[in-house]
Amino acid sequence: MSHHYLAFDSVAFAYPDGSEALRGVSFRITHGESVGIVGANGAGKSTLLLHMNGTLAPSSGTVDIGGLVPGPRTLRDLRKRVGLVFQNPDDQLFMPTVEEDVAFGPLNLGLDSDAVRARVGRALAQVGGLELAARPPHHLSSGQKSRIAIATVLAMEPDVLVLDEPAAALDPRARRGLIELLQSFSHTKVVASHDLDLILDVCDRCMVLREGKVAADGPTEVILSNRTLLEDNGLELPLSRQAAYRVR
Amino acid sequence: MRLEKALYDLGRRDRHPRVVDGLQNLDARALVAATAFFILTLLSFPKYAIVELIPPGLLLLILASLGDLSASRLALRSLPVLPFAALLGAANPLLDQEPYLIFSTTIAAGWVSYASLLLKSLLAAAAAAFLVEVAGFPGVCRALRGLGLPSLFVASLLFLRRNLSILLEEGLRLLRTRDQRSFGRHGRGIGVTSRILGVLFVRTLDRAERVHAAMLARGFTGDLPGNKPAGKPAASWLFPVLIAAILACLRLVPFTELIGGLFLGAPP
Repeated sequence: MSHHYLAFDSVAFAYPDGSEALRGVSFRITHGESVGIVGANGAGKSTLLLHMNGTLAPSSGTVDIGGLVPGPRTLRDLRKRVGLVFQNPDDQLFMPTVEEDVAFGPLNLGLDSDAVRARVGRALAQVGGLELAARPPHHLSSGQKSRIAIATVLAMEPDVLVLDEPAAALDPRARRGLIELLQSFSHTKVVASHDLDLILDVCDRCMVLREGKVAADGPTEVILSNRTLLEDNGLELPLSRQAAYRVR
Repeated sequence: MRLEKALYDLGRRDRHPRVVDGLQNLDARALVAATAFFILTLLSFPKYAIVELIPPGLLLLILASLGDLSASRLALRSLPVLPFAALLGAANPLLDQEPYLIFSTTIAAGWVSYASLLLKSLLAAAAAAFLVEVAGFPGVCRALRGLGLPSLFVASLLFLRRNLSILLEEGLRLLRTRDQRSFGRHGRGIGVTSRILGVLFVRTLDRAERVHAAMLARGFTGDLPGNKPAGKPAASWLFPVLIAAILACLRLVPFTELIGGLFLGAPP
């Protein structure tokens, strides 16, 4: 557990069509940190997250996840260690029932049925989804889907939680519920989002990506209060900070 | 609306399998076994059998009538196999020119074997549809895995179904957006439709890739270890035994000839 850090060193990545999504990204995230990744559309946020569990491999540079370098032999351990919640819950949920979907990861880890049942119960309880266990995932509301998508990853008991736009398409109440849920986790967290208020509430540290590079990295309060920095990177002050700015 | 209904129907049947009295609490493996017996019995009938197929058809209708499943619905669900069966036996009337006497008329025996093939295909598809209606598609997949079918085969079936719903969802979105911006015949021609089909294919492929990436992220290696049927009473297995016994009787005893003989008198 003490080894769960994420270290990126000069990571670059280009898609097969030649578009460069990451251009020399370097940072280190350590145990217990909660890091927000922000940036304009196309800045490379989702691509960056997909490198954290080996879904994508860098074109150059190195990725080190707690001593594991992503590769065919380390993928299993890597994916056990880093839980990735995809942007669209409909992509994440594919089994016939919520219970089976949450059990999918633990079963693939080779756990016995009692251990799987216990993990499914704990994960669903954590996201308040126990009553949804028998429901088909594709017929849940957006808020329910988001919570269950997180439960599918929690059931694998990862050291690091990586979430891509977790609040997209959520109504205000579901969004607030999600923020409280994320605040309750003690995991190391990496959250990519356009919802800067969510980043303010959930993350202590914030990285701004611009055109595949880290444009800024520091305490969330400092980064997300810097109007010039945000505007230079295609962003705006969080709504809560805009109100304070107007009052001044 | 037809696409919306198809999508809704696909999900609804998995959420709420048909309530068929007496069959609902059976182990899905027993239902799969009974269906397999039914299909094997159909295959065992001679190639010119038509009237002989009526009793197995009636058995299926009786089972369906135990629940809220109508004969017309079963027939509707089995119709998609018809084009394939029709294609499969299309050469029969040409290849088999033996004279066959039917209702005092002589026709090529190939037409009779063709009709028999179509009827057998429809009945087999109706039995499979009945199974899916009662056990639900995921239940059938779990049962197949429980009966020892390779995980790869069962996983392919499950994801075929999942990708079908993805295809329908994407198709529905595309049609809705097309309808918003097409007026009368404009925007609904074959040119636009063929391009939409191309886009639909690419979008479905993209989405299926994202689903696959999400599966890999949770340790998927090609096996679905969770596909085991839930424990059900051992008495479930009486059902396929009973069905097999009835089918054996129907196959071995010429009921249709006996009934025909009662009404028309013994053949000369």
